Amino acid sequence: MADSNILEIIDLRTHFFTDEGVVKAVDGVNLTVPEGESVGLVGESGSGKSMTAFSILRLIPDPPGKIVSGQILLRGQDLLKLPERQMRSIRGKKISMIFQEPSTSMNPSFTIGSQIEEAIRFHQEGRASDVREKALAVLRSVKIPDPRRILSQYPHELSGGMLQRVMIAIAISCEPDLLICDEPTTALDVSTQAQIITLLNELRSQRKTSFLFITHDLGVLSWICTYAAVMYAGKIVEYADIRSLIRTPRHPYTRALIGASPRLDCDRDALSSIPGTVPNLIEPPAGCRFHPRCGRAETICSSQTPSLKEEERGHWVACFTERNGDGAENA
Amino acid sequence: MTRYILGRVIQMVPVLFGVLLLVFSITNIIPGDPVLLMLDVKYSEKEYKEMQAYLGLDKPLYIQFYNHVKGVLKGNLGKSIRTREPVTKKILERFPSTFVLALAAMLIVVIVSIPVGVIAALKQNSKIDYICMIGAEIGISMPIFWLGIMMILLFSLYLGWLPAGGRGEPPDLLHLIMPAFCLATPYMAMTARLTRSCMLEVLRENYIVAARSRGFPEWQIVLRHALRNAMIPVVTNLGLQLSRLLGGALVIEVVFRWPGMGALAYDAIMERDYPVLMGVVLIVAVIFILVNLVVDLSYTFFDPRIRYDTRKG
Ligand SMILES: Nc1ncnc2c1ncn2[C@@H]1O[C@H](COP(=O)(O)OP(=O)(O)O)[C@@H](O)[C@H]1O
Ligand SMILES: [Mg+2]
Repeated sequence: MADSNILEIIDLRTHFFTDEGVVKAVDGVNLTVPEGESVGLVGESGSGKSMTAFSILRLIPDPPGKIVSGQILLRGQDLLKLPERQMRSIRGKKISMIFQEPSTSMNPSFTIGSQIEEAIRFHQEGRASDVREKALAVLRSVKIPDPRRILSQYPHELSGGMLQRVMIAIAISCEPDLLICDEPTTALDVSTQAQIITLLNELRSQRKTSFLFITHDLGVLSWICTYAAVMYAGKIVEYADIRSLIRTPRHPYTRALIGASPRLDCDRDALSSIPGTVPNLIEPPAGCRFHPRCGRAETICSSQTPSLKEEERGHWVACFTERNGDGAENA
Repeated sequence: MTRYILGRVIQMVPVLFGVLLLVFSITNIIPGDPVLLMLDVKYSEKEYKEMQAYLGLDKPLYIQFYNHVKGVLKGNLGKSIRTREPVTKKILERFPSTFVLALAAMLIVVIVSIPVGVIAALKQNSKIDYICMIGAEIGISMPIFWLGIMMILLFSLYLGWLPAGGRGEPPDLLHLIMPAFCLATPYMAMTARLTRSCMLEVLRENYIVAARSRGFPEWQIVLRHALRNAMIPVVTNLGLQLSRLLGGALVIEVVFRWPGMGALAYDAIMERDYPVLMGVVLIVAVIFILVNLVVDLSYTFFDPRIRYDTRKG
């Protein structure tokens, strides 16, 4: 891995204490985002990707959710130990987030302008006219046509793609070091999707912002990410740079994901074609959580939980059947 | 916007005509002959006929109705059978009392229940929340006339703190306290409950999480981002309740002898003073309709998605 990491998540556990039982949405996640890189987090829906992201900003709804243990290090500083006041100066300033559904993520009662200016004003001083100029500048940087008009419009007057651009504008307005994108294109149509990804890629190369990019779309993943982590039922099962992950996937689940998508660049919903369903996170299967759906499961897989091991340089896998370096035979 | 308002005003015409017809029919169906009430116990046929003609009740019903509508269109609501005073004058005398009572009750509702609902939502499932919601439950389930009587018993007769009825001479706040609180009680309870549930719902919205992700402090999230959206259904409901609150005011006026339009209507029924009754009902109907119009228009302030002039919805 790179020598300096902007974000390091160590053994994170985020559980939801519901009437039906404890939902272990995030259960021992280890993940690093190297400085300036773009790390993808991929997995079926319900595997805990969003809750991992929400945990980073400490936005887990409490009750019922709680971060039970772990460390989240932003340049070495543990965010989970910060008082709420200090955490607020991290949110939106050091770490920003964009969400899956742009249409419900903007407040319907305020104009776009007032929402952008609110964010800008909050994190930096400046006269009113400066704030407006800054808002226009940031709208221009996300390539919104006629930004002056947009400022006075309400969210319901804009298309999903435009709104997502506005969300990105707000997120980058205070020049964060880390941008978390939680499936930012899932709710958009295909051509808008491509435009948004292109925009994010441009912003990343211009601004040296690091990305944590959540998606369930392998096509998007390979387009924007330099590293990728595969998440399954609350755990990371594989982590590598994007090339080795796509070319030589080691975990059977990753292989199923990739195998299920005939062509990466036109893949839409590969994950749904893997047989079986995501396990119940209240009582997950013992041992490796993927073993009931895994074609290669051995006896050990149902009794012991594999931990994430560096099987090759920079390529981490949590699987017993992949140990002893026989990955090539199945690649 | 002006077109929308104009349309609504035009819609009032058939509604008001219906109201006139309905009240006119009811006054003619309910038992009791106003002519008899005006006469001595012993009266001759001739006296009866004269009195009937004097009151305009000798003509066929449709003529009576026609004359009534004609009068209304000229702004003339007729004269009281009892006192021969113009009905308009009687209503104008009484209207301010009802207005003050309803306004005071509404203020109490807004000032008390919105903060209570917000606090209950923010402290969901805490002791404060439970106390507020049990209080609301009790407030909703009490009939206001019963509550009024209990309040009079306690605060006027037993403790002697507050006057039992009337408005005071000249009108003062002390006389207003009990009727206004009594009238406000069920609406306070309802509004506090609704505010709480709307707040809880809005606080789960994605845009609230998004606002939190920008680092805003909790008060800003609650007061700026959540409250305004949570207020949309609350204001809608307050608007709907405003008409019902006016209806409740008429009841409260009778309990507390509050000299408003409710008391006027009550007396008019008791005395079979039909012109007064019809006048009051008509004016109350006009007020209801106007109140609902104003409430509808006020939504645009709270919810920019509603714009009557640009969109159909
Ligand atoms: N408020 C909540 N209460 C209970 N369970 C929750 C809550 N939010 C999320 N979860 C559970 O957490 C798990 C992971 O959710 P999420 O992180 O949103 O998945 P993903 O983003 O990968 O689709 C899901 O099984 C979901 O049921
Ligand atoms: Mg998600």
